[in-house]
Amino acid sequence: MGGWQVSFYIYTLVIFGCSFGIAALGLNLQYGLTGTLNFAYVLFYSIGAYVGGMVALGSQNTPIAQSLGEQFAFGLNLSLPYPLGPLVAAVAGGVLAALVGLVLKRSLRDDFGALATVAIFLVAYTLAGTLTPVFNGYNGIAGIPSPFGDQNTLLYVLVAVGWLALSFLLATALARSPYGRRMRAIREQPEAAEALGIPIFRTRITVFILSNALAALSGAVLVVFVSGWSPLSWQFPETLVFFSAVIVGGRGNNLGAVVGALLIGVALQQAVLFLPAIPSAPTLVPALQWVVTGVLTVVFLWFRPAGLLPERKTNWRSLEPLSARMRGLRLGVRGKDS
Amino acid sequence: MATVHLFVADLAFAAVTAAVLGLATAAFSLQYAVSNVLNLAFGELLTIAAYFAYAGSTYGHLPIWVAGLGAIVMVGLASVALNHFVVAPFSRRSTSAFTPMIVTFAISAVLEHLVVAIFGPNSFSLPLGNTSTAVKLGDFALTYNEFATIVMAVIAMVVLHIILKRTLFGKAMRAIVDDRSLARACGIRATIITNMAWFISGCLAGIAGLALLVSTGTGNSLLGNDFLLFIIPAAFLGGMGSIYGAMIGAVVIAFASDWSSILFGSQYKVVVGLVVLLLIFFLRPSGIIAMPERKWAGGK
Repeated sequence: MGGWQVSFYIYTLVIFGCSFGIAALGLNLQYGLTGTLNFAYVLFYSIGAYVGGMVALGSQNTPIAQSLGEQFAFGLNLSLPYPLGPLVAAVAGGVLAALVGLVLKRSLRDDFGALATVAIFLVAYTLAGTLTPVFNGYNGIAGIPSPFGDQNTLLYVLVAVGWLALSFLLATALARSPYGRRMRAIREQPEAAEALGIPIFRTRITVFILSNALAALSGAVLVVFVSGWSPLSWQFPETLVFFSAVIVGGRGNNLGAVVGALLIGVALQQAVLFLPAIPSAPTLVPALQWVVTGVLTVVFLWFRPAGLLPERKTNWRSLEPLSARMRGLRLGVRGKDS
Repeated sequence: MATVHLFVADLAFAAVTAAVLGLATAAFSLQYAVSNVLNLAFGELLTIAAYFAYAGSTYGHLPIWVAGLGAIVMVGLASVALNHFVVAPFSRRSTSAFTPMIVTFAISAVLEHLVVAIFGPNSFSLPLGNTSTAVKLGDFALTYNEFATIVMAVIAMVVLHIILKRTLFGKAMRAIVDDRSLARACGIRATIITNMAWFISGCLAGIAGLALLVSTGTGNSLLGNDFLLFIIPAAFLGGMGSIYGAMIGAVVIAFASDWSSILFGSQYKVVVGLVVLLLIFFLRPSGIIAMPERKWAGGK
């Protein structure tokens, strides 16, 4: 049994790492690259988990369904075949993001918009907890089956790694494309970007939708493994874990975001397992973990704001491979080939 | 007609909410006005006020009013520390309002969980004051606790008003709110005045935290952060940075949320905040009392 437990422990770490990594990539797109501040990020993560879980729940006539009762009954009785669940979840996250983004409209750029996301999160959280017809209130949903059966956890681990790889490729392609330069221009100098004809609002809201869909995908990747979801899984400070990951890893650097997610989301959580347990105060260690996460974020912002893996500065030389396409735009800047 | 009775009976409760919310929102707005930073750790100031009072009276065996006064001063000092050692340095260095805001978000998580680490996760109860009826007019009844809360809030508001409008310090503070660098050029010591403003704001937050504790009798580590749900819409409604607007916004939000819970059920109470926010965002983004649009100038 020992070997089985160790391998299950490793599977757990890998799946949590993949899920947090995808979420950190999404936050990096909106905060690190485009400069939009969204304190309701974990709300989108959570809508993905709820939707991903509810579409995966199947018939209510099985023994497990009857023993769980209402926590199971929230399933949509769909048993969607696997890759569809996370995709539906991502779409749900994107739709919610479009709604929030359209409400915040031009405030998407400033600190007022960020404060409004706090209020939106708190209202959504209270409603999810108190309105039982929506997501079964504080009891949440449970009994979500593993997509490939309980015997095939290794296969699911590989699929989760695949989702992370896919997200990473998407985020990297976006960051390197002309659209990525547009995002960075908006982050650095919104007025100048606007003067150059970059549609600020459209770009911001597109990135907002796309990155929050990634958050929803990450929630869906996690929920079929942990098999249940309730408001306790997504409290307000939870967003700090993702911010901390992006800030410690390196704002604007996708690889940094993933590394940060592994450090803050996985390594910091596991490190305390090696501390002796304190039976009289079981919540002391988790509380101190939060304190460490918060302090680490502040310390990094002060002493190393660029993070562990700083974003590479874009200069003309780094655009060299694109030079053929860029030639018409190089006003007065002559490369070595001319 | 039955509903009318309920509205009148609920008036006292709504008035207490309005008083507490008014204090908290004015304090939140004051911090934004002098520092240009939206302080997400503000809710925790209310929480630690409740815990200071609890620790003072339960472990320190102090009389409750001494513990309460001590808690208010301690929160004022905590607020100054937050500004002087965290918010102000980050503001001086940052090129946008985002970094100081994220820092206050991190500090909020730190404070909330420090409280859990020290006092444990369970809520505590502190039976305070006198819950017998003090004033009764038909359906309208007010307990001594509610009466004391409202009187305390009104006194705090009047004192704040006198400080702002009648003292040289208030004048200096308003000058900083209008234009920080100009105020500095006129010889106003902006750092000290800002810290004093944060002290006043912290004391108001402390009073609000204690009033919340008195009105419910129990407190936990989420006491203040949950209250942000009402503070934020009230601050937006009043016009961010406007202290008198904050008081008006608080009264509107308090009565709207309390009365809506009679009409639609208490679980929809929180929706009022959201509806108000949406209305403000679509109709009047600057709030009731519009403040001039501010550009980020940092803490210079």
